[in-house]
Amino acid sequence: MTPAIADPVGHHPVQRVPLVDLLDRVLGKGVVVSGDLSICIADVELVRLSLRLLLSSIRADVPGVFSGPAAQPVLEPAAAPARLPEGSR
Amino acid sequence: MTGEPALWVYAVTPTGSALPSGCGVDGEALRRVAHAGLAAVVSAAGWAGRPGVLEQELRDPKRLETVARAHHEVVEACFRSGPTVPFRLGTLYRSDEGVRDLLAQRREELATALTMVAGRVEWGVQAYAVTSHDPSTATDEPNDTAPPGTAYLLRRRSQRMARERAERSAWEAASQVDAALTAVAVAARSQSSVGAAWRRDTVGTQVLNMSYLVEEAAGDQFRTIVGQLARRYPGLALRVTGPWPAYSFVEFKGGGEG
Repeated sequence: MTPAIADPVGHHPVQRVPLVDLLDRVLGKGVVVSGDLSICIADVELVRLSLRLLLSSIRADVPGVFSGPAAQPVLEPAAAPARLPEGSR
Repeated sequence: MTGEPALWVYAVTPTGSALPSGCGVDGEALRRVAHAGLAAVVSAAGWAGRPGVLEQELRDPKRLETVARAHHEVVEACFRSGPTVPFRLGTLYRSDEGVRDLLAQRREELATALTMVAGRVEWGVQAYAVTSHDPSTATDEPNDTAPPGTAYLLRRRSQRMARERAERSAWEAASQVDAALTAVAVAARSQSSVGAAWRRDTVGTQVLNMSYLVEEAAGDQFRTIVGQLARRYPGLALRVTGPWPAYSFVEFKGGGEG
């Protein structure tokens, strides 16, 4: 059901990375330095931009939290018990 | 419309790491600019060389997505081969010289960040309140004898209260989830999400949105714990993404240079 979650580090296909989570990180995180030409979009505007992008691609890229393609790294609560090793608490 | 020269910076790695084999934004070749043990992974980005062009282009949703995915792909490739400090999308320099200055001026912080993320990965965990789940809501109806209009209002009120109760307990459960995951993580950061607003309509109120920096080797343990938590708190829908390069754990104080 959710092979990506069980994959070793780095083996989930890059194209399948959920867009929202990707934007949260590449636009909202990462090292910020003032380069010679760094992007000068205010945070507020970035959010607006991202939302517009999302709205334009929700159907194509983000089918919903629990109904994504198999490779979407989503852990469904019901799917979890199978992977439970002994004695971890 | 290529203008003045510009270099797109993706990430900083130790000079010992290999250059990723793929290409950068717009298929440009990747190369490294190194200084004092640090290597910045860069590509030419002439299209963004004139001030304002970058912002202009990224206003196009398709272009933004393409650029974001290309940027991430390089960061991810670096991350697969060694410690990686991801840079925010849209960091550009005019020349190798500028990049080297950056590496020199921020040497300490970059080296610290590399140490911090080495052998570790980021997991994103979100929780949503599952409001329809609460089974106690169904039993809340002592209004058989009330007049129809009143019964309706009472039922509505009882539904609303049940929803509020479910959300309240979801918030409490979320803080338990956070505590349990923080305990196995090296570090935790709250994650503000552009997606929280629209997910509320489709999934439920978001009650947790965190990133955890976890030892690479502890990935299975982390996922197991998430699974246990998901079963312990059925009122929460948990969503996990990762492993990510440590985007959320490399923020420098101050932001600017010097």
